[in-house]
Amino acid sequence: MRLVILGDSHTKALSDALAAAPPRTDIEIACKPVCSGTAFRQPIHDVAPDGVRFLDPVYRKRLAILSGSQHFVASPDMCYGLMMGFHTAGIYRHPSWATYAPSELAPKLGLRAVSSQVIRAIGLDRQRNVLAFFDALRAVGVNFFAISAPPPRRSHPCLRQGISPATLLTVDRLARQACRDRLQEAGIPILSPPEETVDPDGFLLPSYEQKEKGDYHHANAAYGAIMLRKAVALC
Amino acid sequence: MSHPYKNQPSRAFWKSAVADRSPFDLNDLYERKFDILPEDRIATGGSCFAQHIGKRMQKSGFAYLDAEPAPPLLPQAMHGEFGYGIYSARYGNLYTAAQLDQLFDRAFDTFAPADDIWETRGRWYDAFRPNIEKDGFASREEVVAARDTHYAAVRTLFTEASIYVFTLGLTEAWVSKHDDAVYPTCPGTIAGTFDDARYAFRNFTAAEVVRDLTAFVGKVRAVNPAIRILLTVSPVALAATATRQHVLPATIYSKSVLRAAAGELSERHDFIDYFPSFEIISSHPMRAMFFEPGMREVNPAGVDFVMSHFFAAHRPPPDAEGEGRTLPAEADEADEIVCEEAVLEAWAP
Repeated sequence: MRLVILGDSHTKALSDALAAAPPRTDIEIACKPVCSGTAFRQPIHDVAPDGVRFLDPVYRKRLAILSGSQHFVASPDMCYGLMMGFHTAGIYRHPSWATYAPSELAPKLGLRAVSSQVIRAIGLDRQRNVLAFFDALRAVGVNFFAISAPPPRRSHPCLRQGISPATLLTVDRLARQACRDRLQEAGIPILSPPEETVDPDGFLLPSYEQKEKGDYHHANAAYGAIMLRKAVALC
Repeated sequence: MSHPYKNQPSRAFWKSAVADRSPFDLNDLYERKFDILPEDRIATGGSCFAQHIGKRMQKSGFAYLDAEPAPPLLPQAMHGEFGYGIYSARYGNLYTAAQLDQLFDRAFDTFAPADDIWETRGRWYDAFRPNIEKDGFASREEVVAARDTHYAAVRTLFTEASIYVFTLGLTEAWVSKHDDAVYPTCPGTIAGTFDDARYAFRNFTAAEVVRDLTAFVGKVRAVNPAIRILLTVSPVALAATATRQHVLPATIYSKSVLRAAAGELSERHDFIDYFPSFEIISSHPMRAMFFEPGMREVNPAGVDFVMSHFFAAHRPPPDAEGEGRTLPAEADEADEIVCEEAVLEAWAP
C-alpha cells in the first residue's frame, strides 16, 4: 500500500514531520506540497486518456516524483491524501471584514451583516477548482481523502487591522463547513484538524504554529506529525 | 384663423410623429424636465423592469449610487443570486407604490409590521424581500441582522440620492389584515403560509397609488429636500392576476392606473419627471416587437431601445465612470509569498 500526500503549502507541515520521524507503518508514504493555494484559483486538472492529471507540467512532474505516475492512479494499492480545499486565509484576512461581519456578529460589532449563505457561497467559489478536481478523481475511481488546512492562528496580523477574532473564526468556520458539506455529500472522507491542536476559541494552539518570520497561517512539523498519523490511520 | 393646434410641433400630430415613421424613427418621445449632472447620484428601485434600468445606469457613466454593495469577496456573478447590485439597495422588487412608501417607513422606523419574518421548511425569510436569499436565512436572528443592515442602507440611499428612478409595476398586492403591511409576493408562494384570515388581496386604484406616491415623496423630501424623482411604468405584464378578470385586461387596468398616477404626479411637481418606457415598449406602433415570445418579458433589443431614448435625453458624461463594481485587489500578496516559499523549500534539492 502506498500513501501519497500532496497539496498546497500546508502540506509542508506533514512533509517536515515525515522527514523528521516517519510513522511506524507498513504503508509506503510520500508527502510534499506541489503548489501554493493560489494555484487553485485556476482550473488545476484535466482528464487525459491515462486518468486525471494536473494541468501544470511542474505539478505533474512533482506528482510523478511522489507517486511514480504523472496521473492519479485508480488502484486499491494507492491512496492519496489531498491537502487542499480548506485554505480559508484568503477569505478571512480580507480587509472588507473590518466593514462587514457575519450576521451573528454584525449587530454587536456595528458592521454590515453578511449572511451565512453568502459566506458559504464565497467559500465554495474559492474552492470550485479543487471541488471539480475531487469530482473528477471520484468519477474515475481514485482512492483519496481530503485533508483540512490547520485552523487559523491568533497571531495573524489581520487581527490587528480591524478584523475581530470572532469574525475571523466565524468566516473560517462557515467557509470550511461549506466545503465539508459538499465533500460529505460526495462521500469523500475528510481529515479534520485534531482537537488537541485547537484552543477553546478555535485558533491553532501557539505550540503548533510555524514560527518563521512572515508566516501567519501555516502549522509546524509537530502538527504535521499528528496529521500524518491520522492520515495513515485513514488510509 | 388661429387655434391651439396651429403652433403645435410636428411631434404633437399622430400622422407626422407616428404614422409616417418607422417605429425606430420615433423622435422626441421624452422631453426631460430636469438635467442629470455628472455629480448627481442616481438610485434605482421598482418592479422587474427597473432591473434593466438599474444595470444600464450602472454602466452609463452616471454616478450610480449603490448604498448596499455586496461584500467584496462575493464574486460578481453571484451578486444577483443574493439580491446585490440589482437596485441601489438590497430591497428586491418594489412592485407597488405602497411598498415603496412602507419601505421608507420601515427603514426610518415609523412602521413596524407585526408579520415581518416567515419560516418555511426550516429556513427564514424577510417577508418584504423573500427573494434576496433564494434558500432563506439560517435563523430569525440572521434575518434581523440583514434587515438592520438593509434599513441603514435605505436611509443612506434616500438621504443621499440626487435622483431616485422608480419603476411602477403592479397595482395588485397582498396585504396584512392586521396592519396593512404590503408584501411583494403572495404569502405561501416563495415563502410564508397563506392564511385567508391574515392576508387580503388589494388592487390599488389610481387615487390610492397617487396617495402612496405623494406620501413617499413628502417623506423623502423631508429628509432630502433636493431629491428629484423619475417615474417610469414597467411594460412587463402581470404573471397572474388575483382578480376575477382575464389576466390581459387585468394587466391593462394595472398599467393604466400606474401610468395615470405617474402622469398626475409628474404634472403636479417640477421635481418629478415621467419617462415613457411603458409606451416605448408596449404601445401598438411598436407592434410588440420588443417582447419575448411569451409577450410578457421585454427582450434585450427593447431594453436597448428604451435606454437609447433615455440616454438621448440624458447624455451620460463622456469620461466619467459610474460607481463601478470592480473588485478591489485582494490583499493576498504577503501570504502568497509565504506559500510559494514553503512549496519551493519543500522541493529544494
